[in-house]
Amino acid sequence: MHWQAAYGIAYITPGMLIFLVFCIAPIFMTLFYSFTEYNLAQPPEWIALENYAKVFSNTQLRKALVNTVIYVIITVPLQTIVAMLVANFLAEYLNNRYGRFLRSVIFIPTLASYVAAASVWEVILASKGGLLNEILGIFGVGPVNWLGDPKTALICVSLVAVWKSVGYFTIIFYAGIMNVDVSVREAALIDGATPRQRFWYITVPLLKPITYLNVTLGIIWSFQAFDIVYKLTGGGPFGATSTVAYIIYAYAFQDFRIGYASAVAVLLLAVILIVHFVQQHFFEGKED
Amino acid sequence: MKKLLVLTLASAIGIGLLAGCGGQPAAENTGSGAPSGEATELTLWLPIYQFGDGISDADFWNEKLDAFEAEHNCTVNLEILSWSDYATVIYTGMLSGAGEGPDVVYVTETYDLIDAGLIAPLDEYITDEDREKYVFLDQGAYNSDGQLCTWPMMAGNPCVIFYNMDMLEAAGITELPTTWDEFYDVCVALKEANPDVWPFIQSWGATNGVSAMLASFWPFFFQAGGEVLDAEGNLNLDSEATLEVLSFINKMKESGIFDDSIVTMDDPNGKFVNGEAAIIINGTGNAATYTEQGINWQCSLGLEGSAGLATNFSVDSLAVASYCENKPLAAELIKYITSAKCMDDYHEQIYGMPSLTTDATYTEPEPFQSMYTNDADKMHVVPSFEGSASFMDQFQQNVQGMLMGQLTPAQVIEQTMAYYNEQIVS
Repeated sequence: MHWQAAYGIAYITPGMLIFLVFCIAPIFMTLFYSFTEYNLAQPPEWIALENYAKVFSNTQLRKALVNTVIYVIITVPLQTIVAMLVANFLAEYLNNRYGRFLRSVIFIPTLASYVAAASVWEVILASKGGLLNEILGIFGVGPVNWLGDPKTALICVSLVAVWKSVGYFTIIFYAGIMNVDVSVREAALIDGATPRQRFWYITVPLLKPITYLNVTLGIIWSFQAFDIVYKLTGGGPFGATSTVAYIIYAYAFQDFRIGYASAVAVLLLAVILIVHFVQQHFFEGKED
Repeated sequence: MKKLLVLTLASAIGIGLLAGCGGQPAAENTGSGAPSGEATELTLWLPIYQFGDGISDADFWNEKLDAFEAEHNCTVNLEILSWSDYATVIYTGMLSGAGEGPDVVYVTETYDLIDAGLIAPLDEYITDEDREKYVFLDQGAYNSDGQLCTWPMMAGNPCVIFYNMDMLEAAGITELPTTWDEFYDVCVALKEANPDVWPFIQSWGATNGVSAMLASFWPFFFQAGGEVLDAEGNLNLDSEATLEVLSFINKMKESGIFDDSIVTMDDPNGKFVNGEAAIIINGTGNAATYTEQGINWQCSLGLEGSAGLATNFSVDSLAVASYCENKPLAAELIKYITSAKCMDDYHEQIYGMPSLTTDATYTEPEPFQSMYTNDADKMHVVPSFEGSASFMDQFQQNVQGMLMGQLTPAQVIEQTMAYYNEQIVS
């Protein structure tokens, strides 16, 4: 028993060391920097809560935080629901070579870089000569300034993000569905359950651990939204799509105000944790 | 335990990026350096400028540097960098200090580098002969003690106004406008003649404020007599000149010269190249592309605003790292690179720009050479200042608000300056 414990510790030590150095230590370093004025070049200077005082009076940041929360509210449920429905459709009706082809097609946007994806969507969503407006024009609609109108810009950015990530979550859901015990599905079939009933009473409940994982990852990634925003709208128009991660980038890597950017990052961490606790409460007792 | 791990992972992912920046403070790297002549190896970082099919930057400079290495019995390690996040790459690279960072480096944004003490003053290496010979020397960046810290290498590419003459002639316009009012009238005439094209296009939807303001704001600002910094070196954009420019831009929007897409416009150059826009303000370096694309273009340096004819131009420079162990040799390298024997060929083979020295033979193609010769005093540099990137981002966002009818020009200035003073420099 004693040796077993020693082996166990030996096995996890390298991984834990990497985890400590690259995951845990940075959190505390960021926390420390958030109380300092630091430009990377000169030693950090302790300024206590000054950065936080500025953070809480930063209207640009407030706007970005609201945008980020809206972005999360749009993207996470949408990509989760769409991915689950698509995965269920593939598992139920297309569990053959056509389904395999479709799975690959759905996954392609996930493989594309955000910059490439954003470039394509820029062309589609352009107000003048954009593909979407050209199509809508055939039906006498538009043109709509999709990315230039604050009412539509954030929605468009969110939908592009959903398009980009839905394939990834679909694959995870699909794997989850395929892991559902065949006997359960067969029993439901024998009992005469309709496809809708099978989805609601078998697939959805049994996929709760997977759903929990996808929602958790979706929330974390959505709170970090940066590249798609940077390329599609640059945070505009008039700050309508600016996100907290974008602001952290600008403060840290354009102005080299590491202390201030760290304070914003700590704030983002606090928001992510709060959302996570809410989500955890929602899923409590259901993930296993 | 599982919940704890999930929480920790979420925290780490959300925050870890920033902490990765924590490095060894450069103050520890800025050692006294070896005596002159001791270190015989220099690292040189330059950006890529060869955008065509000609000789590569690396091949060009390695060939040129052979002579310098032989003359000074030293080794120069050259690295050619891409323009992606250039200022960040330079800044973080210089934090690495001697051995890993550059000894001599091409710099674009200088405020943070000087403020952080990462680059060394050059005054003691400049001779009277240099001051006479290097025509842009006084356009370099200075530290708070008034010492010159950067040595101009690429000075030029002024933002001029390009006109698609086919479109102008189709609208019955045969003479280029010279004043803001005339320019406005030309835009209105173009709009009436062809509602499907942009008469004049700007880049208020660029991915960052620096790019947005470069050709869309600064030329007008200097024409209105604006000074970016006041005598004490403080940002001076809370001025009549700024208000004048913003009011003019707003007038363009209100009269339909700019449509709603102006706030998302991030590729005005593409629109001009494709014949979708009649007028654009852009660097002179784009002229060759316009010619290649078969555009019948003409250009003027700028317009006459309330303070006369003016525009902005760029001055990018070379600097010596403060940790460089042989600064005299580094200064010699800078002089060699910017000498006529290198730059004449560089301008011919890599990238055309005005000559840096009085003995240079290279001349820019017309009409640009005449502009440099006759109108050099009308070209202004936008100096680097504290928090410039964030300031310009905020300015761009507020101008977008103005173009969307949500802010007045005065509110743009008021809100941007308030943000700058409260959030950036306080």
